[in-house]
Amino acid sequence: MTTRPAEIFDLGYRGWEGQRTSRWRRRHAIWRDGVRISLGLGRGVGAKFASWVLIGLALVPMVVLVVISAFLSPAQEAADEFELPSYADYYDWALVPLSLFAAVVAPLLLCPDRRDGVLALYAARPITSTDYVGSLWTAFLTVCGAAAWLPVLVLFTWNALDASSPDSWLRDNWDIAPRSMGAAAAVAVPLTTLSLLAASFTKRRAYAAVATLAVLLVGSAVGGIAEDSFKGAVADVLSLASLSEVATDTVRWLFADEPQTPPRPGWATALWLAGVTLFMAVWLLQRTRQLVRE
Amino acid sequence: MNGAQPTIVVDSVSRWFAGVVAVSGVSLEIEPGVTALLGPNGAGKTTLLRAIAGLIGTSQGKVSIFGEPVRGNPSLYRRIGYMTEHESVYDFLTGRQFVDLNARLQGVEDLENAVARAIETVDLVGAQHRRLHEYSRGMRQRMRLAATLVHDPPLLLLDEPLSGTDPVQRLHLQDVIRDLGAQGRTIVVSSHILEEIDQLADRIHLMVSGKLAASGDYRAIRQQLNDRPFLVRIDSSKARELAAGLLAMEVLESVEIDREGHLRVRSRDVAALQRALPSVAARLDIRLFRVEPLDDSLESVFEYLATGSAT
Repeated sequence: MTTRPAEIFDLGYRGWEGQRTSRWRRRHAIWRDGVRISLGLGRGVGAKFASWVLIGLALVPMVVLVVISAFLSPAQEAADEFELPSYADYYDWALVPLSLFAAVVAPLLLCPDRRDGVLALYAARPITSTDYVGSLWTAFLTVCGAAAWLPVLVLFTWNALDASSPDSWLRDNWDIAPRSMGAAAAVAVPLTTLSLLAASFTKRRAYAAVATLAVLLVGSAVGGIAEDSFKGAVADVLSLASLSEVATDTVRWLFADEPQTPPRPGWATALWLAGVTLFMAVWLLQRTRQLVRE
Repeated sequence: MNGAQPTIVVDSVSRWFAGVVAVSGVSLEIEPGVTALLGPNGAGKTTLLRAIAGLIGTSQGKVSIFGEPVRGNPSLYRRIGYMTEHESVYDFLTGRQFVDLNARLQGVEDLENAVARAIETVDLVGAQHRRLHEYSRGMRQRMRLAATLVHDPPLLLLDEPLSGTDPVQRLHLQDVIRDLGAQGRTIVVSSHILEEIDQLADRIHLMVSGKLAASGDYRAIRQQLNDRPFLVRIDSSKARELAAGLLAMEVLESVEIDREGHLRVRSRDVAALQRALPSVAARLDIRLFRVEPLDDSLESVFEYLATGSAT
C-alpha cells in the first residue's frame, strides 16, 4: 500500500469581507454623537447647562415678545405702541448668545477628543479626517443653525397667524422662509467654523472659548474704531474686520433691510463673509488632518 | 504546510521626533497568531505600533498590511482593530453605546448582533448599560477590546491591553486574546511587563532603545545568545564529585555549589553539557535528580538584551 504525500494547509482567519454600510452612515454616526455632545444629551445637568441656557437666551426673548404681542393684539391702542422686531433686527440681539454658545460649546466637540486621545479612535477607523471634522462641523452647525433659525421661525409663524388673512399673507411673504434660513446660515456657519478652528489649536476648552470671543470682540472693536475715526474706503475696509458686524449686515441684506455699517453693496458683504468662512474652513480641515494623522 | 503569509511587513522603518530617534531601522514580519512587541518603557513600542497602524508616518522605511500600504489608506481599517495605549473613550457613553459607536464607524451592517457578540466575548454583558466612567480600569480595557473587535477584524493591534487590569481580569483578557489568536487572526500585543507576555505570545519582537534587539520564540532567542553563558542547576547525589568530573569539560565556564548543596554550572553550550552530563554521572556513579536551566526565562533574555544593549 502506498501513501500519497500529504499537505496541511494554513486555514488562517477569514472575517466578514462583504458589504459594509456606506460612508454616509459612518459620517452619520459621528454627526449623531456631535449633536449629542453639543446639547449635552445623555449627560448630567452640568453638561446641558451652558447649551440650553444660551440657546434659551437666543430663543426666549422672541417667544416673550410674541406672547406680549398676542396679549396686546385685542387692545388696539396698546398694540400700536408695541412693535415686534424685524427679522433682521432680532439678530442684533441673538448674535450675542449665539456667539457665546459657539465659543463655549463647540470646543466640546474637538478639545476632549484631543485631550483624551480619542482622535486615535477615529484615525484607526475607515473614515478620513475630512469625514471626522466635516461630521462634527455639520453636527454643531445643525444645533447652532437651529438655534439661530428658531426665533425667526417663531416670529414668522406669529406674523402669519396674526395676519387678517394668513393665506394671502403667506402667499405674499413666502420668500421670508428661505431668507430666514439664509440668515440663520449667515450667522451659524461662520460661528461654527471659527469656534471649531479655535478648538483645533488647543486641548483646553476654556482657551478655545477665549480665542473665539477674542476674534469676535477684537474684530468688533476694530470695526467700531474704523467707523468713528475713518471715512470712506478706509473705514469700509476696516469695518470688514468685525465678523459679527459683517454677519448682521449680510442678514440685513438677505432681508432687504438697511445695513448699519458704511454703505457697501450687500452682496459684497455676503461674499466677504463667505470668503472668510471658506478660508477658516480650509484651515480647520488642514489642521484636523495634521491632528488626526500626525 | 504552506507557510502563513506575513500579515504585517515592516521594512527598515525609522521614526524620529524633533531630533529624537524613537524607532531606528526596524524590519520585521508578523504572521497570524499572537505576537508580542516587548520592551522597556521608552523603547519605541508604541511609536512602532502607531506606525504599523498608519497613525503616524515613518521618517524612513515602509509598512504594509495585507500587502497594502497602511498610511493614508482608511479603507484598510475595516480589517484592522487598533486599541490605543491610553483610554480613548467617551466617558459619558455606556459601554454598549461605545461599542455601538465603533461598530457604526466601522460600517457594521448587523449592529445589534455584532455589538452583543463583542461584549459577550469580553464577558461584560452584565455591565454593558453602565456608563464608562463608572467602570474600573480593567473593565474599561475589556470594553475597549470589545469595541476594537466589534467589526471582526483579522488583525488586532493592541497597545498595552493588559495595563491596569487586576490579576483576574488579566487572566481573562489573556484567555480572550489567546482564543482570538487561535482562530487564526494576527494579533500584536505590546507590553513592557514580562509576565503578561510569557504565557500569551507565540513570538516576540524585543525592542530596546528604538531598535529591534531580538525576534522569535524567546527560548530560541536565548539559545542564540551564545556570548552569554547559561546557568544550569543540577541536583545530584554527590555534588562535589560531579563538579570535579564536569570541570574537565571545555564547554564549562564555572561551577559552584550553593548553600543547599546544589550544583550551579555555567556553560556556553548547553546542548554539549546535556549530552555529556549523563555519561559523567554514570562514570562516577552519581544519581541525577534534577537538571534545570535557571535563566531560560523571558525575563532573563529581556534583562540581558536590555542591559547589554544599553551598555
